[in-house]
Amino acid sequence: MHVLSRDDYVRYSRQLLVTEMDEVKQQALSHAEVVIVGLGGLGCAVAPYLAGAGVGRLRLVDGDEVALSNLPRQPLYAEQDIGETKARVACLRLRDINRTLSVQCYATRLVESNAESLLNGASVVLDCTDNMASRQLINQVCYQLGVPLISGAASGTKGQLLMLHPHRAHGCYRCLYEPEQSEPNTCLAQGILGPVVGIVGMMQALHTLLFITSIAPLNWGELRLFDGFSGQWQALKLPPLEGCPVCGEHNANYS
Amino acid sequence: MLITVNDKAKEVAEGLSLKQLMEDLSVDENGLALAVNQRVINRTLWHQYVLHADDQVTLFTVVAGG
Repeated sequence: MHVLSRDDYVRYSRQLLVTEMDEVKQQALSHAEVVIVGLGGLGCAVAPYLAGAGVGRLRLVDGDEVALSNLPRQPLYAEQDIGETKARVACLRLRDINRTLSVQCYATRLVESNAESLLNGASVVLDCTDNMASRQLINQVCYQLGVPLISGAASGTKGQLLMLHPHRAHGCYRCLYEPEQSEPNTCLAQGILGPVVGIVGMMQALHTLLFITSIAPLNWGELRLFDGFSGQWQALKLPPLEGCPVCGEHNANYS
Repeated sequence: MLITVNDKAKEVAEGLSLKQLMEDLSVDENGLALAVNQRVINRTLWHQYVLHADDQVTLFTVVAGG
């Protein structure tokens, strides 16, 4: 079996010291491919921790450019990056953190015509987007492809985390929200406190590491609500909606 | 009968449906989702879902930002 290089032992020494971790699990990270859709507040929290932890292949997808109003909560970017595409800047920063990785950037918006090719082959997809349409599309394509999805969302002082596995019996994003539901809490409408979105992104990163290394079971089908004022999380079960157009067939025998 | 809505006690009529509860609360339903006893109830089921004493209702808003 391929062993870690001397540099890898040094680089990952602190996480290898975690009781449940070992070289095989570290290798599982290096063989994993994670797609991060959206490089705003969530993506900026997720990406450097996954790169730092040694997730071997990262695919970054975002069609936006860095703006001044992004800087309070998107610490991958600096003032000199304003006007540059987020995917390109994030890619460069992540390579600075860990040059042993393959980081691919796609400076494009995820839409119906490219979603399947952008998400195909992923070990897990992280939904870090900022709108209902993208979230519904990612959920749908992950279920088509059978790829696990860890979805984060934040606005104002509230955060939500949802862990979905197409091969497990539970509801999907479409069972939680309908595409027509409005978004009273988008950043544009309600604003956002930077650490709130950062905390949700960190939870996405943590659960990604737990999943890839299998060092702890994930609570698939669980929706977690975060309240930035109290600092409390609340866990809810998401049952499948009978006849759901996305997960209905997967959950035909759910009881 | 007594239920809780986001941890606050509320007296409601026997046989009240979730849909009726939402109307009573006069909230904007479009941006809302809810759970009863920590289990999400899809909005298409609200009209047929009858509440029981001691049910814990959790109301939360759609959050889609990032």
